[in-house]
Amino acid sequence: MRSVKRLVGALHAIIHRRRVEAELDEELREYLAAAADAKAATGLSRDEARRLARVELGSLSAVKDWVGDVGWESRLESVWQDVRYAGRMVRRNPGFSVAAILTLMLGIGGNTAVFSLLDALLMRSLPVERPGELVRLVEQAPDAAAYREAFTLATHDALLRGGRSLSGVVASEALFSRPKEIEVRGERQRVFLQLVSDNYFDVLGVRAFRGRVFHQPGASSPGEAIAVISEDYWRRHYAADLSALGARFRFGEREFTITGIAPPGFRGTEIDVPVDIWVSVEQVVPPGSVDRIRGRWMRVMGRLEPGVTPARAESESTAILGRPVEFQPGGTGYSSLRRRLSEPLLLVALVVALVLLIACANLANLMLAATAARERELAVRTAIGASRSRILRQLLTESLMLSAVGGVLAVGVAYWISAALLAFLPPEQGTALPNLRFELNAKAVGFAALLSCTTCLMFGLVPALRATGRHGAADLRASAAVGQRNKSWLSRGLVVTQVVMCTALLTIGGVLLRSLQNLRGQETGFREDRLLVADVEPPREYAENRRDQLIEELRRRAAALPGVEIAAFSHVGQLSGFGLEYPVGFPGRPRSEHREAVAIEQRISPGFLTAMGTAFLAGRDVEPSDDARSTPVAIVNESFARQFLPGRNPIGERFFREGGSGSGELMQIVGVVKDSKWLNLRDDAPAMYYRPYRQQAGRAAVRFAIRTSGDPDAVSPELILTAQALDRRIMVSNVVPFREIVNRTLVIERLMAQVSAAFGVLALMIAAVGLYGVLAYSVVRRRREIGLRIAVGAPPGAVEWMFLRESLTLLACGMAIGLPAGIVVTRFVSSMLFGLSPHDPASIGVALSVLAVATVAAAYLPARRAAGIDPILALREE
Amino acid sequence: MPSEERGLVQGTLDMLILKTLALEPMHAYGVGVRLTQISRGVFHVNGGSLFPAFRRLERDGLIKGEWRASKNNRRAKYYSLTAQGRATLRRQTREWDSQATAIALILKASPGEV
Repeated sequence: MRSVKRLVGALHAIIHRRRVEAELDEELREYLAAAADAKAATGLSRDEARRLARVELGSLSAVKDWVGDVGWESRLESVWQDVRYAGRMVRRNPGFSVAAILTLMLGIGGNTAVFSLLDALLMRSLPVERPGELVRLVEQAPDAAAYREAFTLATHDALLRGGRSLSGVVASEALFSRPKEIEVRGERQRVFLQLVSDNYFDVLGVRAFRGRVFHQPGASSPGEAIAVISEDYWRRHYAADLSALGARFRFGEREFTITGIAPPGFRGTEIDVPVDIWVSVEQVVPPGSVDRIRGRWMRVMGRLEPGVTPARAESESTAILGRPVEFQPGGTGYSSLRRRLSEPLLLVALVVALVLLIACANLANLMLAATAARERELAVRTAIGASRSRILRQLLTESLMLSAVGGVLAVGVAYWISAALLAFLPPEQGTALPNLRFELNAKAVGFAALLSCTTCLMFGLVPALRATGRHGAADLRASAAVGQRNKSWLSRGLVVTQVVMCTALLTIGGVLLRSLQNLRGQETGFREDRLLVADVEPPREYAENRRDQLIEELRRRAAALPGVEIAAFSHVGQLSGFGLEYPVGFPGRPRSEHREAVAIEQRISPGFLTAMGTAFLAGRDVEPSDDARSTPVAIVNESFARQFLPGRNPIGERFFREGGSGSGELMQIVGVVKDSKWLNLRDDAPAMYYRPYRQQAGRAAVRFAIRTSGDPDAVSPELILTAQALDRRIMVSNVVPFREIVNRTLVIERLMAQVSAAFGVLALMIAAVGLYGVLAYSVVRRRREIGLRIAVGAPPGAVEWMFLRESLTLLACGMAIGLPAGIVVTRFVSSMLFGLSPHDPASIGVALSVLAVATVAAAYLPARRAAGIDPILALREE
Repeated sequence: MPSEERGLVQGTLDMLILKTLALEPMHAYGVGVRLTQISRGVFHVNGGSLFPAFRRLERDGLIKGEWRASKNNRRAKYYSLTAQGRATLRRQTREWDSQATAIALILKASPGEV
């Protein structure tokens, strides 16, 4: 009760501060007047009486201060005092303060950025009803480590009909970063349109923001050709005008009407590809269509009935589908980036966390030195009556001030670091950016605030406790020697900790850089210099042979461009991450034996292999004469020959592929080429065969490969102009030097190597500057001792060595612990390495030598300064 | 905190103020004069001690202040006890009595009594 009253009173006092003060002023005036009256009554003169009254009361402002001290509003007041005082200390020591704030800013900012990325990728729930109930249907792929998340529409239909443990099952098209074309009033637009089952919005529990969404049609009401657009698309394309409702567009064969706008923030269940338009798949692939059972292009997501475990739903669905399937948590949606990025991002998180820890250890050490330097001030404050807790609070306020300023700046830095990290994403993944970009939300700010407080305690508490404890700086009686010893042990321990963490960081950076180097330096089977590639797509509405003619004509004209040596094309781009894989068979061999025998097929134009720089080992290239009328031929790579035709001369052998059009047609091998990395740079080159484009045509798009005599970039505008001149409707995109494509496949590796190397260097700098600061300070403190040593005959070299030796001892201790720690940590990244073991001696060696050089550099200046001390001046001081 | 009041046992000033105000509502100066009078000149309580004490007692709800015209036609803040203040005074007086008796007994004790 009383505390409530106090609280109210205090709040009152704070809010009505001015009135309360005015009242106190008046009361004091009255008091003085009354006192003066009383004194005048004893016969003193008016003036004398007034003077005496003032003297008795003492300083008015002191009285007011005492009154003000009553209650916890004075606590606040004293906190404010602490803050002001801390601000003064911070300003008095600008070098230290700026260094502290900068390191905290980078440390906290890096952690916040990575946290917000991880949050967006791994933790953020879809903005749907009860996302915890959603499950993703997955199927174990033949490859043990992989899951398939793509199914036929029929799978969805079967689960929808037969399932009891799921309250709803939706199918949504697996989207890639390739937009689709729609026609709005005769004008073509590229949008991310997703075909979804008509119960999509109902099962997810997403209601229309404006207008209406589509629902599962009843028996009487047939489905309508309507579409729902995202709020974001509504803003971009309709300027948030409600006239969008009722607008029509053409998609494929059908006309759709926009009837609804999805709520803001809902961008579908694909994290990588935010959806612009949703259309019911029933309108495009009607029941009974062959596309319902053919092609795995749908994702299936279910909502568990309340109380049903995923395991029960799994066994039920397995029974319905007649093959083993699993359910995985689906509340965070689908993302291929999640699979690719989460492990690297966790490593980056580890790296930035280490950097922050190093920064904390470093600041703790500097704080230790700084508070020791304030020994006298703190001791005096203790002597005049400040309690231990009061001084502790004062010191912690100073730390908190530094970390708070660092934390606020960190939020800005997090923006920047997050953008820098996302800049590593290749352009084709750019669609995911709106979902991943740093958002200033409560989570991110809370995380930064939490880190600020934690770091403050980490670097501020121990020095403050030390300073105020027995024998601490605040104890006037403390014998300097005892305090000094303890403190220097702590300080040494902190230096060693930093060395350990730096060793770990630099080792990680080292092995990742080396493995990137290995990836870049390996024998790839292609030559990436002077090579230009471009995706070329003739208009889809042209007949097939007209498209082929256009492509061939463009190839001919491109070959004639100045600076072009060879112009050729393939139907799937090398290192695009895709390949058409077919089972292959050989005449006269039993089929069962080659059940798992698959090879990647690639359809190429003459000159493609030469343009890519893939060397022929035997036989010939495909020729223009290899067309639909002549014998089907193929060129195989070394792996193909080794795997399927061991010990034989492949030339002249014949094989066929199973599946696809022309299944079973025999192809004669006419050439053998070296292996070439096809899907990515990490895996071994797969077994492949190349066949003439003319013998298996019919692709909608091709990738041109143009070998140039000079800079490939110089040819790209010419190529685009040539295509435009040929037919304005030919789409030429992704015109880049092949080197760029190679780099895109190494996004993750580059991200990891560059980020860990950059943060490693940052950590090293922090640690080196810190070591320098601590040593420089220790030289100042031991001035007298050093002066004495020099005075009694120590040569400057010995003094210098004394300081260097100490740093080197610390370095050696740190490395002794850091080396095994680094090996343990690099084991964590071993799956990301290429062509080297986690304890690669070269990387570790480089890391250690970099560290040694930095340590010596940091220690050298203070040591020199120590050796240069003038003994006479040093001893005369005091 | 000023601590010039001679001989005033710590923590007792609040109790004395409450007692003084229990006799009649009074302004700050009046309380100081009254304390000196009643103690026959032993306690001289300065404004520097009185004002914080008033603020403390007011904050805790034991007294309340009210602006009124004083005898010589000036405005002054008159303090009076609240019900809670009265109760606190009764309790403190009881405690003080028993403590003072106990202390007096101890101080008067002669070797023979132990």
